[in-house]
Amino acid sequence: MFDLFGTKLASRLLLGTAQYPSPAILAEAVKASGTSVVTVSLRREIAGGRAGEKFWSLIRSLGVRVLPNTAGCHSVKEAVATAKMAREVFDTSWIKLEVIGNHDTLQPDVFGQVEAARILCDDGFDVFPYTTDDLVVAERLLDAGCKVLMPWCAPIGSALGPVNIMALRSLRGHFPGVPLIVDAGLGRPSHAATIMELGFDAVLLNTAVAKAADPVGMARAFSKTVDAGREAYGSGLLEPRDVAVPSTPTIGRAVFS
Amino acid sequence: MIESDHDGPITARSLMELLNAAYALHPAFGEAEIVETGVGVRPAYPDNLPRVKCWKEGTITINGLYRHGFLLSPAMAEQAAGLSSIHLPTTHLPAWRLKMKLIVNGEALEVEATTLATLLKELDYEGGWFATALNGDVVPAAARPEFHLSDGDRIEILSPMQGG
Repeated sequence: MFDLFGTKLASRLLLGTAQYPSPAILAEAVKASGTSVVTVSLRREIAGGRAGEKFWSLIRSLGVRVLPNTAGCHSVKEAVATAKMAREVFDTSWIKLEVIGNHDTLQPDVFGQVEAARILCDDGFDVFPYTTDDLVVAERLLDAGCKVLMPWCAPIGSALGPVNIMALRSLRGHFPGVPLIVDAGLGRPSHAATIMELGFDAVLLNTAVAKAADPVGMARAFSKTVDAGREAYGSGLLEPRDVAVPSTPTIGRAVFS
Repeated sequence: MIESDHDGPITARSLMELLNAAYALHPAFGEAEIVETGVGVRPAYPDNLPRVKCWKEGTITINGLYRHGFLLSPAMAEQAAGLSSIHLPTTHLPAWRLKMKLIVNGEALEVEATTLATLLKELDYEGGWFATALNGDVVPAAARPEFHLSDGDRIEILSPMQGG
């Protein structure tokens, strides 16, 4: 079990709900992933339309916790307002904080992240800040009151997987007691395994599952590698070395010449 | 804008280039709906600048406004008036109105409602799955009946949506 803000979660995989081929496939993928937490957003509702209500009732039927995001916000003010509106609609103090700084890379505006995180933490939110893998920014976010960190391993939707293992390793080493969730950039189940083997507490992904030819199968595959990576981390991984080491004992070897 | 005097139906390439440009400007255009396409030819002189000409006593022509007709109309009207003895009215129509003008989710609307709660009713928003903001500030559901609206207010009504 894994603890986030006092909530025990069975799965270390957090799943996004966007870009699936259909609501039915989204629901099946969520079930196949075994996830306990899904991310959701807020968008403009069309008058008289009931799209938001339909989506919300589908999510509620899945029996998972929701983590609302502030995706698409480019300023502190927008992100704070969106967080407050999400708290009211989804009835949760959890918020995935995103203040986007660059249109092309969807890189977080880390200065805005810190400022918004301080406002929201002071207001009683449980903030899940999306951030880069920068160690100093991570420290600032913790200073602002964050109890969890969500560094990217590559740009959102890029499917590149961990591009800077050293930075991720450094974060894990510096913050042994802080739940660390890699959010964004995963493409393959093996990427999730690699991140979990580094000792990260969880991964959050969306596109890699939603855009797979078979999202349900891919959700199941990620679920397995997240578990495998976690168990491997807990079991003590062998350190690589540059020379061969025979696995069969040399003692007692027969001499034939 | 294509330099051509073809005024037939829109070509695939024209439409594609226009929509590509919109999508490149902002990905949200990917969700925009094409309500109508139209093709027309803009009247233009070779330098794309308009002309106000007085041909003979009593005949003034204004032509070649190209793609800026709406924008240039007041200036052209003034020039034409300068060539004639017309005096343009300086008074405006009285600014009376019955309805309030608001921007709701980016759309200009005229409504009779005077509070946020009555606005939601008038616009057929029912239920508890949406959140509201007025001019960038969040308005919780409980505060909506006391929130009085003013002309030009910007209202956001947001509801759950897929997210990553």
